[in-house]
Amino acid sequence: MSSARLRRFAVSIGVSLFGLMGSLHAQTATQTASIQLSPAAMIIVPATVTLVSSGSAFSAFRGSLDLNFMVRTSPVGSGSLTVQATQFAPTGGPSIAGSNLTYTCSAATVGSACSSVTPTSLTTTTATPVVNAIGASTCTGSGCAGSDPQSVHIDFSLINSPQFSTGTYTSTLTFTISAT
Amino acid sequence: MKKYLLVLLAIALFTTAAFAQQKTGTTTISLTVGPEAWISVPSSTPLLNAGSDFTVDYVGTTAIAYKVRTTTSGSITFKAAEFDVTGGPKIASPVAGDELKYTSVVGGTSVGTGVTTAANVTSTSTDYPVVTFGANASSKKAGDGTTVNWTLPNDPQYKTGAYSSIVTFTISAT
Repeated sequence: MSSARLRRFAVSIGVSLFGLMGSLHAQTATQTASIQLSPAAMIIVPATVTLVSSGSAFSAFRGSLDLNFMVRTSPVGSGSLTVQATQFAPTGGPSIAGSNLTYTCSAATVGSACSSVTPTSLTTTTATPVVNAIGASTCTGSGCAGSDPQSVHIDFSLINSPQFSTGTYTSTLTFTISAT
Repeated sequence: MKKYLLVLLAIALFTTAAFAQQKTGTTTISLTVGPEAWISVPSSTPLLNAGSDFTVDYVGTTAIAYKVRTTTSGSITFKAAEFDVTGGPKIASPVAGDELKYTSVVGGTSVGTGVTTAANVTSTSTDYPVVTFGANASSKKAGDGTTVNWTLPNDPQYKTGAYSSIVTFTISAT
């Protein structure tokens, strides 16, 4: 092979390699990942709350709990948190139906808590509000404004009537969180 | 076009409803109701003599309000301290016939049993019964009431003056 042909061959190889390298660096791949985020909610409730009477005789039984929850609402949606009770068991003691048990709310990290001043009576027939007006586009967690999880403090008060027979009484409270 | 819009609206509503979420959590709220008692007595009870001679005793009434809840039993009792000035009536070791006497009347719908037969108060260390409560006794939510009726003979031997005795009432429930 003449030197001139050898040079053309070398140049040709170099161009080919350059072209190959150039094409490797230029390769791109695009993919669009999409996710549909729907309204969602979760609630964490302590298993038990004990009400205790302290201080003067026949002072009210009191107790409290901190309710943690996560909520995501749509751009046109909303959310709320409610509570409903079962009747106390056994009979002979306090009565939910008799409005013996009331609660106040405070320190809601999202939405509007129920009154911290005027007590709300629990009922066995109607869910009563704990947190209202959780607004549209609310979210909980990384990248969202506010607390993670969200929370609200609830104080319970139960009248201490001499008419209650001595004994231990229980009632189940069901908290429901809704998101749209 | 109108039909198309209606279909679109129906789909939109269905989508929104399908996205609504609701979750629940439960907690058991509990309390223990135990025996308890509360009492309220006036700060003073004057004993008055309505007569102008010695034939009429000094009398007075103490109205007591109370709340009570028992499992087994309960009571209201009192203890009387000695009169503060000598030369007049005496709680301990009085002259025969000069004893301070009392009865108690439980209000019509009130819980408990009073002392219907007049009893002498002749000791400063004795707890005298006023009302006794049985098992599972409970007063009204607003409270119940009893009155203690006091009688003190008017002995000419008493020197003139004002005399007072501190009477301490105690309510208990078990």
